[in-house]
Amino acid sequence: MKREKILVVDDDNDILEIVALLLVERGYEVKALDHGETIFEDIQNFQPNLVLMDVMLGDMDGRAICEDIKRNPLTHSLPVILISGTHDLVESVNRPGGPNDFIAKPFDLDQLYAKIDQHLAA
Amino acid sequence: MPIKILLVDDNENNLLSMEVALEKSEYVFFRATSGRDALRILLNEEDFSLILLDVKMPIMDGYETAELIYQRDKLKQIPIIFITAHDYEEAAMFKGYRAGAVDFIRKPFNAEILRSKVAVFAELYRKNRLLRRQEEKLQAINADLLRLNRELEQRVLDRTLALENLNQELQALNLSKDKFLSVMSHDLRNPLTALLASSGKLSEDPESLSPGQVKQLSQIIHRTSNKLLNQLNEVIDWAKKQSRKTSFNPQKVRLADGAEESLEVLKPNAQQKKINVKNHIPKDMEVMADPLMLRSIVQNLVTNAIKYTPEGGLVQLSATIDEHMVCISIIDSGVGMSEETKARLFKNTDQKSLSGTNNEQGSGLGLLLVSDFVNQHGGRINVESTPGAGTTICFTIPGVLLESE
Repeated sequence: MKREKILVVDDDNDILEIVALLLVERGYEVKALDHGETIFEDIQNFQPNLVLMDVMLGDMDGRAICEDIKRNPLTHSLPVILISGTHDLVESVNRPGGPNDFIAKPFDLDQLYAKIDQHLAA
Repeated sequence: MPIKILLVDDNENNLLSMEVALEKSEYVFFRATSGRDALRILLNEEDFSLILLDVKMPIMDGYETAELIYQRDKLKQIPIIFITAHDYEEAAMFKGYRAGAVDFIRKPFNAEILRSKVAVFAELYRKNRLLRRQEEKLQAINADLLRLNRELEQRVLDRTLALENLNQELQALNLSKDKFLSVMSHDLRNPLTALLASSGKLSEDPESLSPGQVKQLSQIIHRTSNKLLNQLNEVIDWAKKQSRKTSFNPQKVRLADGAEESLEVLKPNAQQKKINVKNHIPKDMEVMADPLMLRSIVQNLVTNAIKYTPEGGLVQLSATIDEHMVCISIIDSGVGMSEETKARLFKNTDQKSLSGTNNEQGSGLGLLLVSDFVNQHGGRINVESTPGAGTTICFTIPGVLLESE
């Protein structure tokens, strides 16, 4: 059975490390990225089944990148889950250009696993 | 100011008799024996008040002369009295008026009448002159006002600009505070996220983890805990800097005046309940206090005194010296408080304050502030109270020793 691939994007390296560890434990293939500049290249190369991305990415905004992913015909069906410290993403979920889901920081591990499973199955 | 009068008559004797008849210190006479001569004088000399003009003259008669004179803008305002030898018919008089004459006098003339007529025009001239001067003054004042107005507008513009700049600075400051908070929030949340996730995994099912994984998770926990500690220290430093802005600034303060300021603010409250507030603090007493804090202390304590005193009661302020401290007392004739209430007075932060005798509400914070401020001065507060009889609160702050001691 081919392993599902998850691309994790967050400018905090500790978060990247722990999330990668957790998801690999769950049986996924994980690529961790600490910046958003080359994300389209990385998506091309890695071909993830799901993107887990923080809203704050240094100079870049995860929401804007999400919008680009959704509007690009090559990637628009790629599920995106955004991670945020504030809860202002509720309204943007499933809107045009918006993420498929969001999760707040710090996250509940079970909730994280559940959302990932849910959106990979869809 | 001399009145210049031009006498025009081809007969020199007439000129002389007119001058003699009109002799007056304020009058200055000029003579002309022809129309042409008259014109020449008028153009060379300024400010004639009146022209006495003979009608019958050779070459150019009075009417023609008048016409010529009034052609000149400069001379248009000068009144002309025609001197005529004939008994005049109305038609001729009309001609005279049409030429611009203001009056007629017959030859031989009655000296009295001549003087009176000339006096009228002299007076007219003077009044005109006065009016013109006043007009000039008004115009100058008007110009001044316009200038002042422009200056004021400029000042308002300058002030507005300054205020706008200040506003922008304040907004920037506020923005930077908001930014700081949001950055701080983000900087705390991230390590917490990693910390909770790692410790969560570790505690979930530790037996199933490999030693390598346990090591990795522990290291993440350790790293992020340190990050949190650093962030915490930064926040505390920042908070300290913020609070330093309201620091303690003791200065020499005349106690009676400082208390009076607080009492002024509370006058309406006292008047509403017909409560008498008396300031018995000695006028020469001085203390070392932060003026704003002192004001706040007195205001809070007197507000309470008024609040818990029924209508028609009395609140008094006094002060005594106790070694190097000054003890300031606020004594009311109010409802007093029980031992229990007294004990809780400065303790609990979330204690709601009791309603006053007229159901006045308040937060519990006033006394907490008082307590903090008195402490910052190095002083203490003491409360004495008898239920039904009244309360005395006294607090101490450092006094200023009088030189004579």
